[in-house]
Amino acid sequence: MAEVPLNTDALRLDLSAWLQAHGTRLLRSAYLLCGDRTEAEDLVQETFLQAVKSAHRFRGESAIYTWLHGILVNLNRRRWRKQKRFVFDEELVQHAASPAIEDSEMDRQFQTNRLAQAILTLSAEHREVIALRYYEDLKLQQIAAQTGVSLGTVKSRLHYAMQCLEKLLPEELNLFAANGTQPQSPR
Amino acid sequence: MNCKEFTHDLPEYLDQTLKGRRLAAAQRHFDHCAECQLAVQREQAARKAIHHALDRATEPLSLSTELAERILAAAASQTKPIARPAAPYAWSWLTAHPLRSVAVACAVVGALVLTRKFSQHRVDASFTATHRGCYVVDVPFQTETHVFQLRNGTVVDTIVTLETESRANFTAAPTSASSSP
Repeated sequence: MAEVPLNTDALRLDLSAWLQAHGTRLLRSAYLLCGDRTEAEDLVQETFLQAVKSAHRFRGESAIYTWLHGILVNLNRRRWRKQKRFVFDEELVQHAASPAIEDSEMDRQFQTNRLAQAILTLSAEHREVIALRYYEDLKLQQIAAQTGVSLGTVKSRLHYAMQCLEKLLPEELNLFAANGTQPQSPR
Repeated sequence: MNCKEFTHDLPEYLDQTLKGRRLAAAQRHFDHCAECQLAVQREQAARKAIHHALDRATEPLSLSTELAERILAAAASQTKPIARPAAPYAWSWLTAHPLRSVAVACAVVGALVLTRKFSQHRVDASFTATHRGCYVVDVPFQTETHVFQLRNGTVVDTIVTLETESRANFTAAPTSASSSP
């Protein structure tokens, strides 16, 4: 299909607006997906460039952020395939699991950091499903659509991701314990 | 619906994507099962905790002006070719095909070699100045130097063939006063 010539001036305006409106959020999301700040910046750049290329295909059926985020997720998955750096979570669990922390040491900030670190330690696929589900607040069906896998696969990945997360976290931070980890308001 | 089935459907129940009978069954079970009510609470608490943790982890990140400018520049060069100084036609022609470039390079090198060889064909002025009436001609691709002598405006003979190195030691044959270059 022949590419529609782009109105570069209009696009530049749009792109500036998109960068301002969604750049930071996309960068944060990219960081959660890839786990590295520099790679996240590259991913965001690629995302916007890809968006510019395929801007004529955007029909406005979804919000611009959703469209851009979809591109970001796809590019990140392409990056995985190139790097082929999959690491099994079980191996990570063995390396990263640490002994339970004394109550006296635990404060809200520490718990939050610990949880975020544990998520960033997960494998790319598990980190992706966690980020999409809990950071982007996407429904399972939306995750399936964005990642191009079945609903069943998304459910299963989410289940195993949470299992791995539980193993990575000390018992006190167990998300599914009777009292669960509740976000607390800043002191 | 039992607890196991409800747990299986829990994500869709929270997403509000369960439909029809499945939703009705899940709702009935939820309303009467304290265990599953707790499971829903835990799931919601976990969701909040993870969201909060990820928010905190990414809080320091923001799109820098530098990155924004880099993206804009890259996008501009992607949609509009970068303006490059117009290359001269000959250069464009030369660089259009790699084989052509190689062939031209070979031709240039060959020409330089030949020029150097044939340039020796010229009369050696310094030699002529010291050996009046004698002309040194170097033959291409040979090491000998041929010295000719002019008498009355014509080449009389090859008077000697000598190595270039011994040219300085050459003593010209006596020439008449009328001999001129």
